[in-house]
Amino acid sequence: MSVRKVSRKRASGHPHTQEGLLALADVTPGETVFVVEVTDLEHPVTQRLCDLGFLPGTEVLVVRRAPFRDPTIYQLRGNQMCLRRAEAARILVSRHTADDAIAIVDQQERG
Amino acid sequence: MSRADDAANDGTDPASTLVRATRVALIGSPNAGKTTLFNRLTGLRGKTGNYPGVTVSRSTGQAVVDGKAVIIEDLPGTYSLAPVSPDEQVVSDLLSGALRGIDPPDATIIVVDATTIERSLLLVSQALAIGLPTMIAVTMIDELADRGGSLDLLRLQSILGVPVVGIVGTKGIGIQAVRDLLVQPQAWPRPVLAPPTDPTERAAWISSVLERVLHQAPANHRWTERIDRVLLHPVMGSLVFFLVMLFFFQVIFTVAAPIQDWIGSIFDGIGSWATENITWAPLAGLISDGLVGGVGTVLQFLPQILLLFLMISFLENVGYMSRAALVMDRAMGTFGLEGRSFVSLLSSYACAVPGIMSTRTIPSSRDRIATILVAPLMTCSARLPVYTLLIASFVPNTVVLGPLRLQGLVLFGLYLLGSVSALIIAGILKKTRLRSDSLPFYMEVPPYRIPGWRLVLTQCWDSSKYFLRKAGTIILGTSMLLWILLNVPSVTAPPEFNEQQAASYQLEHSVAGSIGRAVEPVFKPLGFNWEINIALIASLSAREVFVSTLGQIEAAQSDDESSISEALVSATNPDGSPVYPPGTVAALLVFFVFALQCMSTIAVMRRETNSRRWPLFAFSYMFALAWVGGFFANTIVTAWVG
Repeated sequence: MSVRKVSRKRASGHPHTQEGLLALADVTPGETVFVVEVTDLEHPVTQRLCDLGFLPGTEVLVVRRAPFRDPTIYQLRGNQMCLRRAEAARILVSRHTADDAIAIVDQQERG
Repeated sequence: MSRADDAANDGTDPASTLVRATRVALIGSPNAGKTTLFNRLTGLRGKTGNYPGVTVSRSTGQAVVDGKAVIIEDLPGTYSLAPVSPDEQVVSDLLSGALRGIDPPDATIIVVDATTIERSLLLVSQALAIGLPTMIAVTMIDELADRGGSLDLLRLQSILGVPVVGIVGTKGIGIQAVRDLLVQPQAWPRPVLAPPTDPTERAAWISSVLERVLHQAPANHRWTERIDRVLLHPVMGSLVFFLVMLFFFQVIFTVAAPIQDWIGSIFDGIGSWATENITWAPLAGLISDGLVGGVGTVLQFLPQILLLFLMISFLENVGYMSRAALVMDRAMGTFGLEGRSFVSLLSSYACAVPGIMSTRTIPSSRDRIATILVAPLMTCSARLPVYTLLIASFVPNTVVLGPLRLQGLVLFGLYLLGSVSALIIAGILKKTRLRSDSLPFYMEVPPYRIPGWRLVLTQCWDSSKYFLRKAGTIILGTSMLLWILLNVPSVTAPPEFNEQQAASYQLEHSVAGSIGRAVEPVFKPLGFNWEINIALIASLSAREVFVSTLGQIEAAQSDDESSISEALVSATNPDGSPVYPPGTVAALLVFFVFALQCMSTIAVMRRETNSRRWPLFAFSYMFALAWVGGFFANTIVTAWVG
């Protein structure tokens, strides 16, 4: 399992439904998803997201949004963490399990 | 002794004594229970100072084990040894020996919250890689069990190859085991193989460790889930937030006020005792006006400050503060700040000094500076004596609507003016000089916990200490100096003057009097005369001094029986016009909303931003706002009231 640097285009944070990938920011509360990759790894904020446990394969439950819809609380690795949309948009996730999701990315990169 | 040693612990750094005691550092993420363990080990005999060259506070304490002293150092909370915030930088520098003037510790204790061990193992792996003797203290083991999680500590010990102790800090379980180990850190087992440093290998290492220690993540905190459903509900959440804030301010005014009066009367007693019993007039004056008038006035506000900090510390330890930050994040984001800035600004309602210090938890340095620059605009408790005196003396207490009276509305308006200006100015700063390309925001949302009263009280005391120190140093100093300036040079009034006229004569010819007259052109447009100017200049040291100075000035000129308030109302200029017409009062109130009249705040800004530029900038912009605001207030109110 490796963390790839992705193109600028994909880092924009828009949903990637066609690949089965979407930004964590776009997942509805109550859903459980799996981290596929965190984009823009050079950025210190992104580095911190990894420190906080947003590593590929990690199961993330979207708990709830704050009263004014932002930020959102996520549950992962046994604790709750809140992120703003901007940060959650950097995290690409899949509704499939980690292995499935990585297989999808590999397939797509080969193709 | 080097400068660095001086900076730490007032020059008495135990590490620099002849027989070198073992130094053990506590590392752990925020909320892991580090401070509770620290307090348990050192028995609250901690000292706080600063790390040399940086602005992060350092707390060290002594634990006596087996008749031998061990120095425990409570490092700032950190998620990772790859630093993002200034606090985290200090931790990683200290451990690697890169912090100038301080040797790396002899051993470390990594404090790990059992309920979030999956995340904490990252910090463990980084800390083990440093190679110092290391012990792991696993906290919240009771909570882990309660929530149906599990973790085999013996297996963790054998896998990591370092001592592992399970503790429940609030109940004291496991503390003795930690103490026993502290006798000889050199003898602790070391890991055979250091954990990997490559991020991917590290992730794999973490999952393999978790698997082998039979880790079962705890179920969601049942209560947290239920409480959050209400407290973070779109409608209910906002309502509860509003009620908590309302309660917060209500307590300050209703609970603290009677205690305040009581303290005030004690100091008044000391003052009149001094006047009656000390025959040497200068000493009596110095004690009754300088000491009681200056320090006494300030100490009256101690109950309020203590209550404010008690509530803040309680709300923080229960877990509500992070929810408040969460609720407010969106709103703060509109002004370019983040949720944690809200918590700092809330503390600034008590006093800007701890408010500014609490910005250390904000990882983005630009957000942090913006918060620091606007924190003094929040109505701190030092403004209250000024507001209460002026409002009680000059604003009629007429009923405006239902239970709302004019005096209360004016006070509320002043709070609102300060808070709204703080947000607007933060917004302007973040759009110009402090613009940041992205707004990093992440925050842990801890489960609700019943806080240990020791921790709440310790934190409350730590914050209040700064306030007391200010009273004992800056305010005492200014009051004394002012008393001298008002009485030097000593002039002899013409014999036909009565006592009251003689006092006015002395005041007019004193050094303070000439200073007040010298700055008259600056403050004339605001409607301030030279007497007000003296008080205004004196209040540059601390706002509360304004009241005691006016007390000294007006009391000197009127008959002895009247209170400050009565003296102010009846004060007239030589031409018979009142010294405090409505326009002047309005200008004064607005001036105090904006002006940065507080040496402690300036000093702490200087320390926290590590520059002279930012405090200078804050002082200038706030003075400009104060002058312009005061000018408009004077003009508008004078035109309106006539």
